[in-house]
Amino acid sequence: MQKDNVIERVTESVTHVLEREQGQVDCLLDLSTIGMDSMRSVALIVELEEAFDIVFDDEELMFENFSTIDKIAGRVLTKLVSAAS
Amino acid sequence: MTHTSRIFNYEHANIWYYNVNKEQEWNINKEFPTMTDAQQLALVKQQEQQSLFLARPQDTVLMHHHPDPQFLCYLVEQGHKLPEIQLIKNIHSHHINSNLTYSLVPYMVTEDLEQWCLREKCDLFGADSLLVKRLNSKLYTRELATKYQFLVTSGSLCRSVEELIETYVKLTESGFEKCVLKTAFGSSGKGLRLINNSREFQSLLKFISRRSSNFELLLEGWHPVQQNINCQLLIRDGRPFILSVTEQYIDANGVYLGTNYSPEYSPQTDEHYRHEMMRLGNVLVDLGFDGICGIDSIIDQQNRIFPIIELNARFTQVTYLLDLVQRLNRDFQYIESRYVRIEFSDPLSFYEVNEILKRILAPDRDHRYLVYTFAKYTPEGTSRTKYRIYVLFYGKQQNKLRAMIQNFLTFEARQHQDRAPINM
Repeated sequence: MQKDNVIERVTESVTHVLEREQGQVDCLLDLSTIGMDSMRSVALIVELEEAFDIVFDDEELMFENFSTIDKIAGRVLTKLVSAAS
Repeated sequence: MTHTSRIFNYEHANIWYYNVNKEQEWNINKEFPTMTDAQQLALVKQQEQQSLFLARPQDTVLMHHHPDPQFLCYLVEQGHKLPEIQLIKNIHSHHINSNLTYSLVPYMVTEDLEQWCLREKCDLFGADSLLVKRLNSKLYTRELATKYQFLVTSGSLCRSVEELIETYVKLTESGFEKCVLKTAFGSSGKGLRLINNSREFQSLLKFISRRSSNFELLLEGWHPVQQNINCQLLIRDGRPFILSVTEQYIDANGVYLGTNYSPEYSPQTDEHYRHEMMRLGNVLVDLGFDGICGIDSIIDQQNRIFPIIELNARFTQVTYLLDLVQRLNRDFQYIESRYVRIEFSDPLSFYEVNEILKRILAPDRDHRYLVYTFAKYTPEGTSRTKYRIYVLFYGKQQNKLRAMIQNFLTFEARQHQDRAPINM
């Protein structure tokens, strides 16, 4: 899966969890400034795992790792690449 | 009401230690979805400042983070006599360098603190650590509540995906729109996950089954709550005492928002609740418990009291503030606490933040506020600073007090990012 596709899908999940319109959230925006907190990020990781059929390791489940769409997409892409190889 | 000054051993000096967040370490279940927010944890730890309200001048409060000096001056200006504050990195490397006898008064009794007290030849306030841990488990307290015939919410302990599905179906078929999944340990919303619909349930199931096929999780129906009702229970010398009945405010995810220290319940509700709390107290006596418990209970839309939603066999925020609240209550009928999480683009001092609060809250002689925790955190590499500010509001007219509280809650840090000039 290409990074653009991953970003698009991650953006979809983020905007769903934050109840925002798509296009309102920039990839590099700190999501905590628009309402992402540890509770909502739990909903996000549950959604991302299902959407991409991946499993985040416990050590990865730190709020700072999910602070921007770009960071999240990078993490997801790494997992997809590992799973493919 | 038993005055809190009678609770602690004031024959000799106390050492206060706020070992918060210990509970989360007990969750060995990795199948329950949780996210660690290191920055908010750093702020939560600074709630250790609340020890200052119970500690006397001859006591010592061990802290991991030194409170803002301006905040300490403010407390003195407000009439508080401060104890000695000792900064520590880790209690295990801390020694009592004195021949005097001390008593350690922790937020929660744990096995490592028992060992520390043995080593330092120090008394320890509270019950046996194994009993404390057991009572803090939501799984155990549900079993206890059922055994002693307290009214419990619908639900079951589930040890497999199949049992989760079976329980979820039963709950939804019996009329519950929402359910709640709980792990054994965790406070203020940690350790519970609200399930709003079957899609969320399916997602959670997949999350869990990706990680484990054997676990212990509680799945319960989410009862629409009319009002929360909470009790601070003291067990001392084989007898239970009710220290206070308060009303906790929590959000939709079970996260603590604040406390109403002057709640209104009908006389029948109040009587029934106190009866159930004394009954629980006697159960705790039989179990050998000694110390303080915070009990979280609910009154549902059918006016039924579920007395033991959560049992906190440790101190709570109410414990630390109760002495202060009892004193304020002599002159002010209405007392509530709240906190806000705010952020400024640059660090502000306590006095700068308090000036902003004064402008927003506009206190008068009969409606006042006290900042009781000023937590501040600036991550490395940025000037953007996060705060948690905990405030006690007290006044003579409820509507005016509530208006102050509303202004506090709508206080938005972004409006003040320009560090508005302070008129001194």
